[in-house]
Amino acid sequence: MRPDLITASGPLRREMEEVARRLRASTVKVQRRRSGGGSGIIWRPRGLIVTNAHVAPGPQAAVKLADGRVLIGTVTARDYEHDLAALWVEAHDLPAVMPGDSDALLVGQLVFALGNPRHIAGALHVGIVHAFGRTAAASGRRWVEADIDLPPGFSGGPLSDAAGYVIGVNSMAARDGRGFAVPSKTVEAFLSGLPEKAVPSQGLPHGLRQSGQTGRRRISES
Amino acid sequence: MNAGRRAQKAMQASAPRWPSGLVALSRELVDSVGQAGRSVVTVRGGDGLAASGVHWRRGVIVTADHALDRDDKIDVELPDGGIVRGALVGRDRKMDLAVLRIRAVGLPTARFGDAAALRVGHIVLAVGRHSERGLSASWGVISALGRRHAAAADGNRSIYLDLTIYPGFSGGPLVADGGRIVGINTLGSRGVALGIPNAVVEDAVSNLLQERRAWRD
Repeated sequence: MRPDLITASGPLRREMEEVARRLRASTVKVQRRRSGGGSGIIWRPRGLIVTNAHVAPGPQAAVKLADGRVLIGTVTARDYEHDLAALWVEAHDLPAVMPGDSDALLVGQLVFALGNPRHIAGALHVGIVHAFGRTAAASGRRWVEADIDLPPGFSGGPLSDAAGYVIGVNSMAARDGRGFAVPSKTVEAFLSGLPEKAVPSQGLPHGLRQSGQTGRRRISES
Repeated sequence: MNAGRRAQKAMQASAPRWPSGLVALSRELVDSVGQAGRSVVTVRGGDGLAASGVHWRRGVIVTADHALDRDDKIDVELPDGGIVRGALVGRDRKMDLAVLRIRAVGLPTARFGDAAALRVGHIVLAVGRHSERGLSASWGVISALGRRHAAAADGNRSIYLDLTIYPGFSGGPLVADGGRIVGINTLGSRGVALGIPNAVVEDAVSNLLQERRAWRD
């Protein structure tokens, strides 16, 4: 590819820094009492966090923001079939991501993943779109498959395109090295039924919606 | 407008405008996959996973030798969805290459690049074609250039790759600038990803075609 784009001091390096900065600002760490946990994405400034259903299996989870604040996130919707969950935190001015159009993705396109692997806050991985997959089951769901490394801790975090638009929620990794993300269009459909703000008064789950069967055929834990 | 909305709007306002370097690189990668992919086929030469292949010359497909379990009933799936029978011309086991003949109506032949211009660190793509999913790709860099093949002439260096050769990628093209094909991908010993440079593939193809002709005459 064009060597002038790749020189060490070229503009590309500054752009990469910018991508990392934006994604880190909008990605949270979702902490579980036992081991594991993962990441989450600030989807709306008024406190809506999107993550994987398997990252936030209980009614609440501790959410650590990039600025260090730890807030209690309350799960208000969960969809095991699409591996999505919505949490709300008490905050009104969070830096939300810009959702992109996952239907417009093309094979070869650059993608960036932000995650929180063990002991590291905000790690950036880079890859390209590998293919678009349907699950083995006949659910007709499409995945975004990327030629990108998604180790444990990346689940629930963002997959963005070269312009910084988030086109997926990272979900799992295959043994052959592919990373799988839930398409942003699927996320929008999942969220479209939710009220603007749904933080319950007593901290108890309110309007908890669970659809699809519990458990999924995951290729490997992410 | 609250602080959160202001922050979001500020981010949108400062988002990279076309053509930023990253967006340009992204587009180039997409275009390269599409360009090279026009001459990439799927080769089914046995039970189990298929391999990829490249329409090297008119009516001639290059693929991976190890992907052909058998010498006949080899099917070649074209980009337009058509399926044609591939006739095995010969195998070069040392190179892990095999050559097939097909009736190739309307299938573009490979557009070649200059493998001798490759340098360690250059970004390259591996492209494969699957029956149901069409084209898929992985990316990486040239990690080393070396003399592995004893018969390789000067400049025909083996290409060591830091990229993933996914199942079905063997026999597919190594792609550089402008979607040009600079070699054929394979897995070497210990699973190292290798590109066989164009000139080495070309020699193998010529030899096998010549042998087959000599055998027939």
